Amino acid sequence: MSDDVLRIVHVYPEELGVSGDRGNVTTLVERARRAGIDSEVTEYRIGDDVPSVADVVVLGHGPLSGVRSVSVDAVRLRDAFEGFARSGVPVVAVGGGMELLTRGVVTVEGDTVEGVGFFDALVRRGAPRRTNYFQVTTQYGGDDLTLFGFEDHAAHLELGAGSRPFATVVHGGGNGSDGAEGVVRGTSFGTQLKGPLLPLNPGLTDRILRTALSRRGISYGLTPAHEKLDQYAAASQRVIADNLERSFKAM
Amino acid sequence: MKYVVPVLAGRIVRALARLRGGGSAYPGRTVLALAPDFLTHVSSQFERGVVFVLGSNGKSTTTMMLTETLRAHGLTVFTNPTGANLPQGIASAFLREVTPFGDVKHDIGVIEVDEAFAVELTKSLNPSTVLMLNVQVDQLYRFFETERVGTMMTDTAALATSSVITNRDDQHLGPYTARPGQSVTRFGAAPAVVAASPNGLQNANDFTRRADDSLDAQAEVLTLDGAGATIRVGDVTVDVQLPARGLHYAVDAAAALQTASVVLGGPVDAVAVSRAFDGMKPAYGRGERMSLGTDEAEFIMFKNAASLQMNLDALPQGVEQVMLAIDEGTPDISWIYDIDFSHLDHVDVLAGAKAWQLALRLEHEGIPVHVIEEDISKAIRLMRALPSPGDRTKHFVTNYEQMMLARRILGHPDLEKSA
Ligand SMILES: [Zn+2]
Repeated sequence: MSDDVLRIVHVYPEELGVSGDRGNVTTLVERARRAGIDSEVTEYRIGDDVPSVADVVVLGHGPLSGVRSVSVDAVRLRDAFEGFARSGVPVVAVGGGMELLTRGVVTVEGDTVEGVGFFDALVRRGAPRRTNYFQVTTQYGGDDLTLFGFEDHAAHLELGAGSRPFATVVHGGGNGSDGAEGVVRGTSFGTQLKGPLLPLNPGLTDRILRTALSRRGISYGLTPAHEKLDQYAAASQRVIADNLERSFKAM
Repeated sequence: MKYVVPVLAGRIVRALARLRGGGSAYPGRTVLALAPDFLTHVSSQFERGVVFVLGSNGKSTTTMMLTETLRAHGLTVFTNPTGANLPQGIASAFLREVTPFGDVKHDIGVIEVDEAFAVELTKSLNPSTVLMLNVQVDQLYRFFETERVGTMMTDTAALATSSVITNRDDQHLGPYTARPGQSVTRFGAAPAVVAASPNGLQNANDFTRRADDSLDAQAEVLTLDGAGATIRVGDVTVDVQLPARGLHYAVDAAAALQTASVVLGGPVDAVAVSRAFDGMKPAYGRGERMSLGTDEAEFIMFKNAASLQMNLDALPQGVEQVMLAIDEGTPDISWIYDIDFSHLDHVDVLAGAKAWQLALRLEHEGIPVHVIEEDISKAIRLMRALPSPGDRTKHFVTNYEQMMLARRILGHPDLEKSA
């Protein structure tokens, strides 16, 4: 394996992969490829050897049953994830994946699904269900960056005293009523932005790639090969921006 | 005499609604308001009871297959039109068939039911038989949790008074066990048939249990070639021509035939089955064909990831001309990143407000897109203007809303909601 390969770890691709979350991995691989950088994707499943090396870690969204089914195994990942945090490896966690990495999920029935405790936050399920287009602004990895996507959850995210949100809500719900969205810890973050997040928001993907690759001394730059991806993503964002007020029926 | 006024009122409302060009739920709502037990009154007259058809995908197609199979065996069958699967819709459908006294002559009712209303509807319709097709992931958006959808179906099945037919190959539904007084039988597809399908059956995973290989299927898809399928039902093997290509239709057929066999209380007649299937037209937008200049347009509608994948997998390899269309009617399309589009070597036209999101997805895969045109009528004009393809077929793969617009543009009226 060559030294300049981007090493991606995709955690629980089935249980936490019900809303096209593989697309976040696809985009990391494809944008790196168009910059001349090869990737190696390792899928981590229940019972596998705990990954010790990674340049970026991706967790996707899953229903509560998915989160519950991996929660016992996930405890084994705790030390590895702490190590990633110390060395600046971005852990990107969406929806149920973010919930898994909090201290836990308090369900509607009142029991708690134990989390990894990577993010100092607690999830309370049973909030009014949100299904809407989602616009937030983040300062992850740089200046204000506007992100678009889809919000689909029924949870409140309570941040611990020392925790900061990943973004500020422009349109949509987010963590609760305070306009905060998600949670950030160093170069890692959790968010409810789906759509999926990374294909729709190449600006964010590029910040993650730069963070992941600069640690390894690999430079990442845009090329003409990125133009079509960026153009289609911009048009997709424009359509979402035009439809922000649209309300979707959820049962 | 109790039902004369409600039935009359419902029919007047229907006539008025027709004059104003729409409104299918009002007649049903009217009759239910005046006679709350109308559904029970009608359904209790079916000598062979009521069959519920439940599932994330394939309810309409399976209901049609079951209905036609039973008719080919000499039964008179009441059924509700596609999509009229809520209480008011079912009441509206009954209203069309009953005498002024609220009486029906049919032997059996075969009724597709929306999962969310199924348990409630057992109270008024008292199903003797419940058929559960599949749990697939579209419902995650609608109901948040797939297992909740699965539970809605199994809770309904538990209330069947005599028989349950379930999908051996569905992790949520396959393990269903009989409640006292019930018989449970299963349908499925032979492993070799599933293996030959590039992306399998698309049933949702149940993360609370491991796969169970010990279940038997009394009806099984043995072979599939295009739209031709061989299905074993008990000891009988039948060849059927499916209304459209695709493994999902073959599995629907196995489900329908197993249910028919249970309802008939014995083996199906292979000749009658073949005849029933030969006469079937594809349901609305499920492989439906209509003329487009000197060629034909074939419409394939998808509701979610599972149905899009199954339909793409059923397309001929390297299809010459194809349009994909998706709009705001499908709110969250994150799942397009889980779809295997490799069956397509290009797309001629992408349409609908979400065309750009599809373009972005296909660009990641290196699948060329020739034109992106959000406006469906312009997009259809572009497809029409393409030279005649070798298979004389221009394929339209669309979500429900884009299909409705496209049908109208091509001069086909909206039949689905005129119940
Ligand atoms: Zn073409």
